[in-house]
Parts: sequence; C-alpha cells; structure tokens
Amino acid sequence: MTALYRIRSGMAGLLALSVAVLVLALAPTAQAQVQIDITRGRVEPLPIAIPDFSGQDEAGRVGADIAGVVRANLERSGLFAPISQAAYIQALPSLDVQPRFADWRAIAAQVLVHGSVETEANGRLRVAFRLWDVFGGTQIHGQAYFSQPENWRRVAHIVSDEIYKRLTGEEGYFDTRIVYIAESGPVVGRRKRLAIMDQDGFNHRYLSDGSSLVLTPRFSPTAQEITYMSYYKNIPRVYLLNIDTGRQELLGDFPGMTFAPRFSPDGNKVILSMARDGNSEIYEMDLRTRRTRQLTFHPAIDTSPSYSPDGQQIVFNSDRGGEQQLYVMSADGANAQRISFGKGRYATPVWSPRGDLIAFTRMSGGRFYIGVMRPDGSGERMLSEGYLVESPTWAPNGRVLKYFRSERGGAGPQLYSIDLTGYNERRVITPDGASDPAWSPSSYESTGTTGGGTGRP
Amino acid sequence: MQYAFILSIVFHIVVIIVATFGLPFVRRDYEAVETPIIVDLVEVAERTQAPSSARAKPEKPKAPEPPKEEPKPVPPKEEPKPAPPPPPPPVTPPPAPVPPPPEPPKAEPPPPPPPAEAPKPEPPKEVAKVEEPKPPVPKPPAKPVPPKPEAKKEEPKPTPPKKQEPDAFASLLASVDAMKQEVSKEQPKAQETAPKASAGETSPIRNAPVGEKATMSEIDAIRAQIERAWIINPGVKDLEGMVINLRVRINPDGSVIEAEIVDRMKAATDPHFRSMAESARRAAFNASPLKYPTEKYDTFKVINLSFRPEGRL
Repeated sequence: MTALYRIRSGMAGLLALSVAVLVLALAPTAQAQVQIDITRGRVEPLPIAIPDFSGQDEAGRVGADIAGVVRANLERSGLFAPISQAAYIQALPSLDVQPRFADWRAIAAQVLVHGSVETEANGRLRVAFRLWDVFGGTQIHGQAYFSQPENWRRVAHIVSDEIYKRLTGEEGYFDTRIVYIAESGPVVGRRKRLAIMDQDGFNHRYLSDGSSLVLTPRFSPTAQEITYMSYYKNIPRVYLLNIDTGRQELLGDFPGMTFAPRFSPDGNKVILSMARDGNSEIYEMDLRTRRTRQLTFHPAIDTSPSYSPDGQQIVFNSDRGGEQQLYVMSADGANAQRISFGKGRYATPVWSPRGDLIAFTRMSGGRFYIGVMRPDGSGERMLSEGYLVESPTWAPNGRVLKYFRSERGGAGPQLYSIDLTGYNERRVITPDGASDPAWSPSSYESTGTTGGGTGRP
Repeated sequence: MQYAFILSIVFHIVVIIVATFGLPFVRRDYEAVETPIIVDLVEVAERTQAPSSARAKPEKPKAPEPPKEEPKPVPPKEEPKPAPPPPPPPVTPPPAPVPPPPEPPKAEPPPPPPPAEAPKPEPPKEVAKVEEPKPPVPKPPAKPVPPKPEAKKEEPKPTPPKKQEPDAFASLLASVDAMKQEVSKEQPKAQETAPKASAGETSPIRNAPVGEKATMSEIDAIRAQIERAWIINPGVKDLEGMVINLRVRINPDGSVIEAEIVDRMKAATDPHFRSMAESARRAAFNASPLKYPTEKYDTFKVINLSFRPEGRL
C-alpha cells in the first residue's frame, strides 16, 4: 500500500513538475494582444495649419496671398479647418527651417503646410511647399512650381489640389471654373448673360451681352469650349463658344429643345433632345461630321440626357412609364431601364465623373429637391430641398455639386454648392442672380486668357 | 324597442368600463410578489474577459460591477417568460423611488440558496412591481401569501422601506468589500497558477494570468478614446468593406510610440485606402496618451485596432 502510494505520489509529483516546466516554457511565448474594432468616428474637418508662404518683399506679399487662397479653398471644401495664424507658435521664415512639431501639436494641428515663394532672376516666381504629418514628424508631400507673377492664383489652386489629393485620395477641384447664367433686372424682362468665374468666385467676366436669351451652358471635357442655347426669333439655337479665343459657331437650329447638349466624355459627340413631329426624342451628334443619330424611338417625352464617365451609358428622363422618371440605357440607345421609383417627378439627371452616383432634381409635394442615387437606382438620398432648387452640376472629382436655388418672393436665384455627403451647403457669391451652373473639367493647360503658362519642373 | 335600446346602452357602458379598468380577477396576475434576487458572486475578469472572435455584445449584460449585479441577472431570466404587459427590460438604472425593493433582497443572498429554484418564475413579477412604484406600496402585505418561505423575509421590507435602506446599503457595501478582498487575494494566487485559466477560449491571452486579462469595460474605454479622436472623411470612394488594421504600441504611461499600418502594400497603391489609413494613424496619435489599466501593461502594450469606416453615409 505504502509502496503504491509512494509510487503514485512520485508520479504525481513528476507530472506536476513536467506541467510546470511546460507552462514556464510556454508562458513567455503567449503574447498578450488586445483586439479592438473601431466603427465610429467624428465627421469633422481636419485641423490643418497653413502659415503664409515665406518670401522676401514682393515675394512675401504673393506668398501671403497664395496661402490665403489655399486656406479659403480647403476651408470651403468642408473637409479641412485651417487654424488661425494668430495661434501659431513657431515662425517659419524659410523652407529650410525644420518645423518644431511639438509647437504645432500644441495648437492641435494634425497637418502642416509649409511653403515659400522666391522671385527668380527672369521675373518668374518659384513657389514651393512641403506637407508635414505633425504626429509622425515626417514630410508626406512636396512640390515646386514656376510661374509668371500674375498667375499666382492658379498656382494657389494647384497647390490646394495637391494637398487635397494627398490627404483625401481624391482629385482636387480647385483649379476649375464655373460658367453660369447671370440674371439681372426686373422679374419681367430679366437680362440673362453668360458669365464665367473661378470656382472661388474670382476672375469673373461676362461672355455675352444679354441681347438675346441664353440658357443652360455646358462645358466640354477636353477643350475650352462651352455649348449653350440661345433663342433667336423664338427658335432655340445651340452655339459652341471657345472661351479662350472667343470664337463662336452655330451648331444648328434645334426646334423643341429645352436643354443645351451635353458632351460625351471623349469630347467628340454631344447628346441632345429635340422635338420632331411633336415628340421629344434623344439624338446624338458627332461634332466632327455634324451628323445626328436618333437614339430613342418612343412616343413618350425623352429628354435631358447625360453620359456616364466611360461613355458607355446614358441616363435620361422620360415619362414612358406614366410619370417623369429616370432611365438608363446603353450609348447606342438599347436596353432602357428605369432606375427611379420614388414619388414625384425626376428631372435633369447628371452622371458623376466618378461614375458612382447620378444627381438629379426631384419635384414632389410642391417642393424641389436635389438628390443622388446609384446608377442602379439604389441608395437614393436627398441632399437639399427648397422652394426651387434645380440643375445640379458635378465638380470634376465627383465630390461636390453646384446647383441654383430660388426662394419665394422673386429675390432672384443664387448658386449653391454642397458636398455629396449632404454636408457643407454653401452659397456662392455672384455679382447678380445666378442660375444654370456648369462646372469645368480640372487642370486645363491654357496659354490664353490667364497670361502665361505654368510649368512643373 | 326602448327596452332593447336601454339594454344596448347598458352593455356598451359595461364594455367600456371593462376595457378601461380591466376585469378584477385578471388583475391578480399582475401582482408582483417580492422574492429574493439570486446573486452570483463572480470575479470581474472571468466574466468579462475580452473574447477574440465572438464580438462581445451578448456578454454585456453579464458585465459585473458589484453594485449593479443584482438587476442584471433579471433580464436574461425574463426573456423565456411571456411577459405581462409592464415590460421588464431596463431595470438596470431603476428610478429613484424604486431602489428600496431590489436592495433588501440582495442583502440576503447567502441565506437562501435552497429557495433559489422556487422563485425563478417570480422575478418578473418582482420587476413588474418595480415598474409601478406607487400603487403596489399598499399591496405588499397581501402579496407574499403565495410564496410562503420568501414571504417571511419580504414582509418586513415593504412596510418600513426607508428603515431598511441603510441596513441594505451597509450590507451591500460589506459584501462589496468582501468581494474586493476576494479578488485581490485571488490575483496573486492566480499568478502562481498561471496556466489554469478559465473557459478555454481561443483568445491569445488565455495563458495570461486571470487578473491580467483585458475586460470589456477597459476595451470599451480605449475604443471610446480612439473613436473620439478619429476624424473621418465620409465621402471617400470605395468605403464599403474597407478595413484598416493598425498595430499600436504604447508606453507604460499610455503615450503612443508607433501606430503601424499593417497592410502597407495596399496603402502604397490605393490612394483612398491610404487616406483612410492615415486618418486612422492620426486618430491613434491624437488619442495619446491612452487611458488604460496601467497594472495590465503587458496585456495592453500592443493594441490591434481595426477601423471600419463604412456605414458613415
């Protein structure tokens, strides 16, 4: 008995010892690691510090102007919150000075833009900037540009685009222009003129004199051209206007047209709706041959077409289903599918340049709405509503929409912009009333009106 | 004709009265019977240890702060019963007039382990009583008649509810102290018996000493700090299904040493992913110094964060 007991206890002891050894061997390899899922955050603008670009004398003044435009651009996008310069601790007199990141962290800046302007011997400006990640203390982007001094605004817009693109992953839209119809005068007998301005409202000028009614300008995606409608002896005509040269040509008489044509993404065709024999249909016109091809053959009203960014599909509105709704068809006119099924009437669809959304105007219950939906019709969201809001146009990065809004009481329409998430609705200041906005494509290389080119080394 | 009219009116009135006030004999089902609430003294970490795969939500009701423990076992038991109209659920923060009822039963947990089975169907009624603080006060003397053994304990309780309160609280505090001592005694003991951890979950911290595991409340505290610090840009393309994994290392004081993006290849090639990943990195640094239980530094010195920005729109 006792022998058995002794053996058993011996074995038990041996077992305990081996377990303990095993445990001690394994314990250090057991890594204590915590796993946490983060699914929420704050939808807020990112705090960013943009001190005036440093420079000597005149270059310093230009540097302050450039930084002011960059700050205004980024703030207007609703995604960035530039910190007031009064709060800055460290002064950065030149690009060679390393930022003291603790000073920038202290004012809650998460990103720092550090720029400089120098005047070269031949009178050109050299504008350079660095983008710093304040937490990590590393430079995440940097660029330098050469430009004529009077072109400093464009450089500021290009710098804003670079910062925006690096931090959001999306193309910027600051180096763009808006063409719209400027309305002035009394409600009856209003004078409508074609006008163009930078997206921030500067460099405003008129393109027509208001002697005839002009409507719905549209930008070409590739060239500095716009189409617009003008009524000549009560017949709507479509004109093609080159902004840089001012040259204007007539595309044709299009009876029964209510919207100017839209360009295809490759810029070679325009798509338009026209009434023939009392029926409004969609036609495509090749700009090189000037031949039109009919795309829809339906007794219902088909109008207001817009190409998808790959040029393979067209969205338009039609009342073939009994009420005015949105349809998508392929670019040759086949397979028209209805995509909108909500209450009310849907109009003016525009396909986002990003391809993922279609913006439209909706009228329901006596109110107007600007909304977006996915190309298959799902995910319909209203972004803005009003007594009269209409005619959305996309920024070239598919992120921001501009439209015009009229309030009751004849105060005149005004331009507004809104982010596709529904945030950041803002009024765009224009000299007079404004309607029918159209957004230009981005980063055009122009040598015309803005005086000299910009080169990138 | 007139007789029928009068009869019809009388019946209508009767129906309306019954609909308004209910039938008297049905009422009795709603009467709440006071029963002791079963309390299970458990160790904090054991109940709320952070699971690796199953997300923790179902464990939340078991999350144990000793003073709140007694209402918590009530909700799970209520579910199977077809609840009478005063719906039982949010008993957890009982409003001011109500605390007297739950406390005293908790004060008596050690004595009644045998009646533990019997009162199982009754806790919902106890809760129903909780929901209507004022009316049942005159009733309690009549109620404890059905469950005999509990009645003896409960009877003195409702009549002088105020007098019971300090006693209940004192005993509650005493039991909390006892629990604290138990836990602290267990901690060094647990460190000696490191491998004998509970509940063979596949968590990598299974082999850590019981007292060192991360509890749900600590995980939630860190999650809240990061969520407060994360600035999202919701309109970015391709947000659906995007997951950004970050490995964060911290110093003992909670300051973040490094927040490393795990999928660096994707960050280098996809600009949308990169911008969200950088915003996640900024969130980790912005939340620094992190508040975490400093005695569990070994558990928390490397934290894996998974950021999921979708669903923001």
